[in-house]
Amino acid sequence: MDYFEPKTVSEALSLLDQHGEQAEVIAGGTDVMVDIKYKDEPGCLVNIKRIPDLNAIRESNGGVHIGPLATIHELEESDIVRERLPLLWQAAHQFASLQIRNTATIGGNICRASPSGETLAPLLVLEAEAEVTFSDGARTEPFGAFFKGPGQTSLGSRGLLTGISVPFPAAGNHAVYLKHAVRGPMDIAMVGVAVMATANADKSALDDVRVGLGAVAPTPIRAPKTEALVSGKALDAALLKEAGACSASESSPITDQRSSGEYRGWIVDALTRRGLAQCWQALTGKEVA
Amino acid sequence: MAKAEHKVLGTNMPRMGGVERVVGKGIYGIDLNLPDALCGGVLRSAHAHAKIVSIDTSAAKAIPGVHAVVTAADAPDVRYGRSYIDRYILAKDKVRYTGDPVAAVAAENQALVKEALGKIKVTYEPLPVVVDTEEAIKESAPTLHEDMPLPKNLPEGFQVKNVCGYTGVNIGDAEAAMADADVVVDEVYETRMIHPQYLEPRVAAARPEEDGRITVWTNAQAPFPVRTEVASLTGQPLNSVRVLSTDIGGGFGGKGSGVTSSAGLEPICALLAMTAKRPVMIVMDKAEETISTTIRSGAKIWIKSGVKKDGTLVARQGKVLYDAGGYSGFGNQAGGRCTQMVGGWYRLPNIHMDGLTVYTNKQVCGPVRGPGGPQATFAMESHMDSIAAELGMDPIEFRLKNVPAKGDGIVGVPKLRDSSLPETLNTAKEKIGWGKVKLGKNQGIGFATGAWIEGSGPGGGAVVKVNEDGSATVHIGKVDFGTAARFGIPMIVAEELGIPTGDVTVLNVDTDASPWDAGTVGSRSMLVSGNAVKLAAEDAREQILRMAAATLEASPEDLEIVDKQIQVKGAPSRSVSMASVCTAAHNEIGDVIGRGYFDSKASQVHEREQGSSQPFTTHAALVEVDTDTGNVTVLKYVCVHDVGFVVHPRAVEGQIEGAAAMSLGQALCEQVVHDSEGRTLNPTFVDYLMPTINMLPPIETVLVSGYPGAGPYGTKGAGEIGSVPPMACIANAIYNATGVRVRRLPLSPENVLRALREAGK
Ligand SMILES: Cc1cc2nc3c(=O)[nH]c(=O)nc-3n(C[C@H](O)[C@H](O)[C@H](O)COP(=O)(O)OP(=O)(O)OC[C@H]3O[C@@H](n4cnc5c(N)ncnc54)[C@H](O)[C@@H]3O)c2cc1C
Repeated sequence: MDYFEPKTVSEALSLLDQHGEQAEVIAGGTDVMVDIKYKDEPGCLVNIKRIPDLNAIRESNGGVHIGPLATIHELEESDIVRERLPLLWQAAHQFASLQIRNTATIGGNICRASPSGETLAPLLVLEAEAEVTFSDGARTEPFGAFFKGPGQTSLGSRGLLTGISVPFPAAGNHAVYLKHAVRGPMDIAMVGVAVMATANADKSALDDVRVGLGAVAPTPIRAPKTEALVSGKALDAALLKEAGACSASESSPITDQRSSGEYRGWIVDALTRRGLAQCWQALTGKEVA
Repeated sequence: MAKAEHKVLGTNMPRMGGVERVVGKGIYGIDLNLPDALCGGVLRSAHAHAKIVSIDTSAAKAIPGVHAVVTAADAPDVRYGRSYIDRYILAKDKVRYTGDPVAAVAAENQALVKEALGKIKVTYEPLPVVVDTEEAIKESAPTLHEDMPLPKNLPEGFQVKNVCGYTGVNIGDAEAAMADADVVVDEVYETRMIHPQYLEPRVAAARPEEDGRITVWTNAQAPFPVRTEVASLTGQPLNSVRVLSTDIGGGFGGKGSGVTSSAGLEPICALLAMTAKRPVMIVMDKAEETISTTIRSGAKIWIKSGVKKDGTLVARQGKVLYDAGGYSGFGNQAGGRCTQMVGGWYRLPNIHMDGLTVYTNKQVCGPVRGPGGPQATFAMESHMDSIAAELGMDPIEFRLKNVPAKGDGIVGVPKLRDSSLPETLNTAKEKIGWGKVKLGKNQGIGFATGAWIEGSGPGGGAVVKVNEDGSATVHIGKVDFGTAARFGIPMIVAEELGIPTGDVTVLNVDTDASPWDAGTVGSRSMLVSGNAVKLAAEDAREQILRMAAATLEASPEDLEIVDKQIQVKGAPSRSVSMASVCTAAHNEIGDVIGRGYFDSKASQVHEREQGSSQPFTTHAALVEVDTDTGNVTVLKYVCVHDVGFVVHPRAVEGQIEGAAAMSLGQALCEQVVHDSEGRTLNPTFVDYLMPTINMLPPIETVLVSGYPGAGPYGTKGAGEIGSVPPMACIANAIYNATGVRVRRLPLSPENVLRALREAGK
């Protein structure tokens, strides 16, 4: 197995062009190293960790620009993420152990494209965009289009994720990321639910409700029917119940050794209700009646 | 019997060698650095059940740097096993589980080993796979072992196959008593396979010596059985094999009963070394461990009890299907223990139990911490709560109504000398605050009792050598992995010889020098080595006092040893140092060598006649159930134990907390998951969920006293019993919180939520 440490993005891209499917990008390596041990070795490793300036987290154009090499712990420690993107902060905070958070990058989490990746549903809900770069140029695309299936992204084998732009969410929003796993943060999510909403002016109804679901479909997804069902309405117990069931119906979870698809559906239902109820309470100061 | 006062016993002496381990200086198996050693590795079956049509090793052998490739054809045609001798070290003709060793390689480095293993061509003819015990006993199931008969003691009328062990319990007339009972409760419980998951993987190294002998290093718990099996399975005379134990990073019985537990790793390593004529070392991979080494089996348990309206138990009937896996392993022993324990440890005059140990295409049962006990107790103690609920009785009152008293017999014990069970129940009730703490929404308290009957087992010896400076060197046959060897053993020697614990050295096992021993298994370190070491130290002391008596012109009975000085009782100024006496010994007897042994047979006869005192326990848990997700949080956990006299309180508490944590893991999340083709779906720690510290509650351990056992000074075994009650305890607490009984492990969020939904909650 060959090993390369490109010093620039273009050097990395030409290595990817040269080696095609044989090459595997490695950032923090917390996924790649496990794969090398338990699956087939790639032909070569292209370590992008030495490329300078790819781990910045800074304000830019009405939002936050995040470099793909920013570690999960850097997100957790970042003031701007904590204050302006609390949804992403909560996901980072419930992400594995400190040792993993110190090593794992957000770019790796995104490009791994595991449906259970902690930051993915929050990025969909935040309507963030990916900056993808190929040797013939760069473009941005919404994450809704970026994820193609488990482990599949629009990068293919020759692209690099070079940036993540997250617009500031509307003022006065409230957001909740709920992770369900047997061991809490120290475990892969069976279900992850991200909910974000604002309230209307007199706090009588929820507005712009967004629901993102992780680990319950081939890619992280939004739950548009649930969002439409709840947006513009006051949240009462009946609506909450309906929203939970609707959200579950929008998911298509599989059965694996962690849990059955049926159970994952129940949890989507429960966590959607829980997330919406928490938003309602935070935004209106009222319990769901 | 406990003396009124001890100098050393009962204190919390730092563990011998503890600091060295913590700072990384302990020599574990993996730290062995044998000059010129090759790396070894094992090719494991990818099929759960298949015929081996052919094995072609030529391509692997042709790789430069590969020094040995071995298969069953290179080993003597000898099998191993405990009750059934049914297994080769490398599969011959057939594989019976995914992970069954098929071939092994020794090469210059790990990468070459991997390459060579990949180049061995095995042609398999897949056979139908059976992973479920209930399926495996049916006529239609595939046969795992064509040449293994049904157990000789299997009663008439069983239409079964693939059975490699039977245990029956027959006390009184259960059928008639059941018919007369006021209330009958009939249930089925199921537990799953877990792996003991000691953090240090298994390591074996072997070196052919110039004189034709072979030295084997192992981190197994039982070096002497390893010696026997390496000799027989590689065709060597016993005295050609020397086994040395390394430091051990946990075993929990998984590294327990010689080769049976380690799936033949040491003989395979020896075979490679003999073939390559070079030292070979094999370090197992964690995922390889999880799919291939021995485990705590799953059991399916049918339990039915009859009671009178007032809560008196009158009858129990039941059946156990205990999973042996692809070979008999420790299955019959564990399955038998499980069957007996489903019979319980309460006063119960009429019991009938049938226990079958069954072959399936899964990895093999080992003697994992309390083999059979946690499974049986999950069923038995959950069932006790179900009966109490059916009767509308308080679960503590119901148990107290049926506890055995002095003079009673329980399954496996003809006569009890005393019974600490009621005291543990009452103490647990008080410590958890039963009936006193105000329970929040979806909170509940559960109890479960436990026993770990001290069974029969081999004896063992000890040698205490006193050096000319008065220090002592101790040989026992038990290894050190956190139990008595480096806690209680040096303390006993220090106590008896009147020397500081720092002057005692306990050696690692070397089968060329140490007394024979069956291994550090079965909560027997104190019973066997403790008793033996006490007698050996007393023997050494007598020799010293006899020699000192002449110098001090007193009779030996009037002498005592205090702080390495031998003095006349009541006249401490008439004294002589131990060093001078032991130095002078050179001119008389050479040196002071005390010898002692634990005579297991005599002890059993004595306990049968006089009655025995058994370790009993009650655990209590306070839990909260999230009825939306099924998540169970354990808020508080109390372990009340009778372990007899306590030599080292903190070591005992550590054993109990560790054992409880281990079974709390099995209660809440742990299991090895197989698909219907017998493949392990969760071999790595990413998917095999061990409990993390954030899942574990504060554990309070309370030791009750006044019930001396058969160990030295009245100790009882403490290593396993803590793992017996937790699964039932948590299930009972969930029942108390929600009114829902979960009869299948683990009590994972999914299983709990499913049960809640099925009950319409
Ligand atoms: C013990 C453990 C616990 C874990 N717990 C969690 C958890 O709780 N939640 C969770 O979401 N994940 C978890 N993971 C998975 C993993 O840590 C994350 O997915 C992590 O974010 C991956 O980042 P990395 O930098 O280590 O990626 P790498 O392993 O370096 O790469 C991952 C993938 O992304 C590709 N890649 C990386 N960067 C780029 C880029 N800039 N452009 C193109 N492709 C790229 C790689 O080629 C590879 O396919 C856990 C892993 C382990 C080992």
